[in-house]
Amino acid sequence: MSVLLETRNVTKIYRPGTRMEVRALDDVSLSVASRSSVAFTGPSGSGKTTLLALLGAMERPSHGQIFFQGRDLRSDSDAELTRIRRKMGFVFQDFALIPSLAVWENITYPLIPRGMSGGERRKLAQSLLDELGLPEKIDKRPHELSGGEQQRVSIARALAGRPEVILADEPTSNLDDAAAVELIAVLKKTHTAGTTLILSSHDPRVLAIAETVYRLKSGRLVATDR
Amino acid sequence: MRLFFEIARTGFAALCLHPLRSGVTICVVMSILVPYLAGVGLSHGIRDVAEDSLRFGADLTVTGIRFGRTVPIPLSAVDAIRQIEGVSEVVPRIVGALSLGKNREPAVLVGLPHGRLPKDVTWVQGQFSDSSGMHEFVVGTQLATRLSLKVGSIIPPFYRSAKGERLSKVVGILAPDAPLWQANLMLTSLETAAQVFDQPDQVTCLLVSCRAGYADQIKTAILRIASPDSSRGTIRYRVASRQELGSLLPSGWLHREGIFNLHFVLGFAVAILAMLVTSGAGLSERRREIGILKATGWQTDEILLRGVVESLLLCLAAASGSVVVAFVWLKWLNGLWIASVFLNGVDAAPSFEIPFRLVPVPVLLAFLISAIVVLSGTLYPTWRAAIVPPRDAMR
Repeated sequence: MSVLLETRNVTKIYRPGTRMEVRALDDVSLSVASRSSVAFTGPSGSGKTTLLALLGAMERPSHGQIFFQGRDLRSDSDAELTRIRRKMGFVFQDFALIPSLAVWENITYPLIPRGMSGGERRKLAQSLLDELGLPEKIDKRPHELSGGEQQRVSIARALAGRPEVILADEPTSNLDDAAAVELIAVLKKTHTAGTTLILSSHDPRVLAIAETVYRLKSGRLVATDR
Repeated sequence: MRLFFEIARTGFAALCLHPLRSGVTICVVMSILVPYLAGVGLSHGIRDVAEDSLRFGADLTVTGIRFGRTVPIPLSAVDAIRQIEGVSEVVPRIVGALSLGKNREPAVLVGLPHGRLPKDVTWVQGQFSDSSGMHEFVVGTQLATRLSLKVGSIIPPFYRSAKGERLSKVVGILAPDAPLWQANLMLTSLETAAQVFDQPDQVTCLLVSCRAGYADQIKTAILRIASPDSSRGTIRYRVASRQELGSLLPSGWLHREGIFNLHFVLGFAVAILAMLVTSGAGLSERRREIGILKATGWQTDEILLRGVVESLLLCLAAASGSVVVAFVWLKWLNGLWIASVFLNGVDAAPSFEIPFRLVPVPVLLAFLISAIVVLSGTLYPTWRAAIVPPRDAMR
C-alpha cells in the first residue's frame, strides 16, 4: 500500500520564545498508508489533536516535514494547503457545524467552491442523511439535533466531498453509548468502502477499529500497537 | 462564472442568516448617513430659496456708507435715483433686527411702502387694512408660534420712539408653506418701520429695477450721487447688482455646509470605530465560521468574495434605507432638529415648511461612504480570520 501521509521529525511549539511556550508535539515521525485506519491515543494534552491538525494541513509544524501523497507540505502556500484539505474530511470533537445553516447546507457547504449547484447539493445531502439514518433532519438547524445527530451530520459533511482520508478528533467524546456505537459503525463502513481513517481517541471501541494505534505522551510518540 | 455566483449567493445568504449582525451594521451606517443626506438636502434647499430670492429680486440694491460702514439712506434719495435714465422702479425698504416678548424672541422687521405690501395673497392669512390707526404687522409662522400670536392679536408697545409709542396689531400670519425667509419676519409699512426704529425719513436700502441693458450705467450714475445729510455730512452709496449678490451666496452656503461636512467627517470616523466594535461583537462567531469554511476547503479569496458580497448588500441596504429615511425626515418630519443646525434661530421643530432638495451626488456619495464604512468594518475582520490557520480561527 502506498503512503498517504507521513511526518518526519515533526515538532509543534505554541507561543515559542515566551513564558507561555508549549511544546505540543516533539519529534514525531510516522506514516499512514492509503486505505488504512490509524488511531492516536494518549492522555489529555498528549498532542493527539495537534497531530491530527498537522496531518490535516490545518496548521504548519514548527519543525520537521509532513508529506501528503509524497508531496512536502512545508513550502506549500495557504491556497495549496486548502486544495489538499479538499481531499480530506474532518470530523471535529465539537462537531463544528455552522449554527445558522440548515443540516443539508452544513453538509454540502464545502462543495460550493467546487461548483456544485444548490439542487445537486441538497440531493447529495439527502442521500448521505439517508445513509446515516437522519433522513428527516435535512432542514433542521444544528441546535435542533442531539449530540449524536450532530456528530453524524459532521460525518456526512466529511463524506460529502468524497475524501481520500477522514480525520476524526475524539469522535465519540461528546456522545452517549448508543450514539457512539452507531458512529463507530458508520466509520467502519466508511473505511470498508476504501477511505483512509485517522482517528484520535481514548475510547477503546474507537481504537478497536484502527489497524495501527500510536500512543502519545507529552507530545512524543511512545509506542505503536499493530 | 457559475462558481462566482454560487459563492456570491452565500454572501447574500449570510446576510439573512445573521439578522442581528446585519441589522446592527445597517443601523450604524444609517445613523451617520441619514443626518448627512438630510443636512445636505436641506443645504441645497436653502440655496435654492436664496437663489430664487435673488432671481425675483431687484436688479440693484443700494445701501449707504459712511466711514466704510453701512448707514441709513435719506428717503429723499429715492427721487434722485428715479430721475436716472433707465430706472423703472425704486422701492425703499427698511430691514432691521429686534427682539420681542419676555424671552426676547429675535425677529426681522421689514418695512415696505404701502403699495408694496401684500394684499389678498394666498401666502398670507389676513391682510393690511390701512385704517385701524394702529401699527399693523404680518408676522412669520415661527414668530407667531413662539409669541402665541394670531390674526387680531394686539402687541403692546415694544419700542421707544421720539414720536411716541403705539399699540400694534397682527393683521396677518404668513402661511407655513411660504418661503423659508418668512419664519421670523415682521412685515409692515415703511412708516411704521421707521417709527419702530425711530429713524424718520430714512431707509436701510433701495431696491432698484432697471430697464433691460441699463443696469451698469444706472449703477455708475448712482455711485456718482452723493446724498447730503444735513446733520451728519455726506452719504456715499454702495450698489450691488444681482450678480454681485449672487456671488456672495456660495461663500455663506459653503461655509455652513463645510462646518456640517466637518462634523460629518468626525461622525464618519466614529462610525467606522463603532462598526469595528459592533462587528467585533460578532467577531468570535464570524472567526469560527470562517475557520470552519477554511478547514473544509474554502479558499481565502472565496471567503473574501462571500464577505464582499455580504458587505456590499449591507451597504446597499443601508444607503437605500438612508435615502428613504432622509426623505421622510425632511418631507414628513419637516427636518425636525436638523433644520435648526442649518438655520439660525429656527426651532428644533420648525413651524414652517423647510426647503430641501435631495440631489444625486450626495446620494451616490452615501453609497460610497456606506461601502467604505461597511467594508472596513466587516471585510477587515473577515480577512484577518481568513489568513490565519483554520485551527486558530476555530478556537
